Amino acid sequence: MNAEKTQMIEYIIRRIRKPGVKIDESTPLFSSGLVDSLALADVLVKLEDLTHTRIPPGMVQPQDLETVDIMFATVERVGKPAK
Amino acid sequence: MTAGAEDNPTNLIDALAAAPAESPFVTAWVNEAKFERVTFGEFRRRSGLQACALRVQEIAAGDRVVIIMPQGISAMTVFVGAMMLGAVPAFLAYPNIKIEPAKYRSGLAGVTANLKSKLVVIDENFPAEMLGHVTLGEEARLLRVSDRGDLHARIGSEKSDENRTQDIAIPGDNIAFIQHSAGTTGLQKGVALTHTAVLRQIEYLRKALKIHGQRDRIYSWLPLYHDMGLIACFMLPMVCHTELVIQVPLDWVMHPASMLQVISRHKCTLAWLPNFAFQFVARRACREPEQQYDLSSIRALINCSEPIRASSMQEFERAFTGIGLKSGVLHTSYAMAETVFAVTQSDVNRPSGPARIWADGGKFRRSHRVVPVEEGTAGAVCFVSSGRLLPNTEVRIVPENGTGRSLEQGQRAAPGQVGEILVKSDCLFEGYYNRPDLTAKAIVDGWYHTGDLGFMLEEELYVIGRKKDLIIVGGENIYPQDIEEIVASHPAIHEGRAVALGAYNPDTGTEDIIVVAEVEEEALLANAAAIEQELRSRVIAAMGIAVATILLKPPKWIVKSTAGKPARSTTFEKLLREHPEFDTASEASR
Repeated sequence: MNAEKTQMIEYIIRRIRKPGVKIDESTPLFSSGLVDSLALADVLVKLEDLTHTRIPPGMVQPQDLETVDIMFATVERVGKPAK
Repeated sequence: MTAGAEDNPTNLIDALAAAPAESPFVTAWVNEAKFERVTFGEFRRRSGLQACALRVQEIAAGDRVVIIMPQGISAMTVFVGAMMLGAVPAFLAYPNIKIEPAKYRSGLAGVTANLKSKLVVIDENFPAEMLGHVTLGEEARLLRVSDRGDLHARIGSEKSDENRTQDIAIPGDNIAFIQHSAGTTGLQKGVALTHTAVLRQIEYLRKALKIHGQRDRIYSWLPLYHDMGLIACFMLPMVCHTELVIQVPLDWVMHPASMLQVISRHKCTLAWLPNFAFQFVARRACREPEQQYDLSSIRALINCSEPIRASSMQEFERAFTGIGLKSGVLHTSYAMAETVFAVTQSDVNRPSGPARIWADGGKFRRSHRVVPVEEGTAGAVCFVSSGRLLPNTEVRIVPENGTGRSLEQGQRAAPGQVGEILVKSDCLFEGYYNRPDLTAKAIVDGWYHTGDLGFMLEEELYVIGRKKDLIIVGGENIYPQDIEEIVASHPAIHEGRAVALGAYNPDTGTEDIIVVAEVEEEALLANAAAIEQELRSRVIAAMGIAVATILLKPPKWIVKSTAGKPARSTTFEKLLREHPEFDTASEASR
């Protein structure tokens, strides 16, 4: 697992305030209820910061951020380099 | 279109027909590179085609048509297409991450059964596991439509049929549509509204907000199954011939800064937002370079549909004054589905924005009456006005008898005295659809009992909160939001995760205040005693009242509503299961 994915997992654990929870690259985040809708914006911002990209509005749905692996694949697909 | 419709439309379809064909109507904005814009003429044409397709499905005047489609131009044209036939459309919420599946399924089954619709229009991507919860009567049909939502393409109805809908007469006193009472899922009580009532309400709003068809442009991410989205951000621009720029709610939640982007790019002048959105956007949309946005086009951003918190509006002002947000453009309104939409609107010409008043906090809680004090006085509480009454609207404030029960509705509160808000207006609904039992409880002698508490002062209405949430301690009236705001501001408590409740204490004969709050992380519970003491001190210092019990809980303990906010009643039920010692007390008090 690369450093950015590790940082994202650490961020999500802090954001959902569950220090003991086990999250890896393939843990379902939204369909499982671990991450709620109002946290979507924060996760997306963190993802953009970690990958130095911008993801335009309307290009992603919650399922595109369902796991850490999927969200990094989403960046590859729709992310634009940050200015 | 009937004769004279341009000047004085008798129904919503006449009003749409009178719009200039070439004027832009709806822009469905996804991002800078992806959006769709239709003119009024094109919107009419598409709606006409949808109407023809609905007629092929044997939809006629009076038939209910339920629409469960993703937010967008297609869903809007199905809605208007149904109205063109004199049928009665109703938007229901589309399932999404914000709505808990179990609640959605149960609400969907109840609402579709109550509406007894003839046709339920659902797009092809609607989750299959939810379909079984759409209740269809004997004569009802389910129609699945493609992503584009073009019924005519699906059914194969002829384009040549499109003008035939113009022959259908729609009297103003016919039901135009059914909207559902407040609630984020939209799966609530159905409110049937006539064309006349909707047109009247829009005329009042047009005058109050000084809406100009060509000069104004409305921005919205609000769901169409909610009155604020349906009336203020669909029917109003359709009738006033005003341009509208819409976003899908989930896109806005994921990219709150996109609201600033849309307003800047399209120079939007008007928007409505619930209170939480002011804070949500202010906290999450500041990372982009400021020069990218320009909010100087806004002339009214209206806080509506939730109790108004001065702090939320101040936070928004502080965040965006630097990018052109003008002083005095944040406004307020008190609205509900049962009166079509607005009961009040703050004066958009008032340079300082809505009226505010500071009152002695202790006297307010003890006597439930406002005693004005200077701004900044220790212990003062600030109230933001929701504005003045719209024309032909009456409000009666019915005081309580000291036990939380309203006195007879004939009794009226003095100015500044708190009581339940009763509303009478020529926009008032006639009843909940197919629910005479609920209607009889809600409307008594022509007055709608809102269940909200508030007061009138100098012809302005101030709304304080829900009557059922009020805590009464030794005759003092405590609004849970005031305590929750103080508790949630403590660094150990997670933002927005505090609930204040009242539980009857038979030893004292009054209610005790119980606060349940989630800590930021579980490890903080080891320090619970110190945190609790700090919270008590903060509440005492700010409000002069003592909290009987503070229960610190781990993250995610508090039950959330479908809107993602703490749900007081269900949290209280959970509390009773874990702490049965409060159970007897609650039985006595409720």
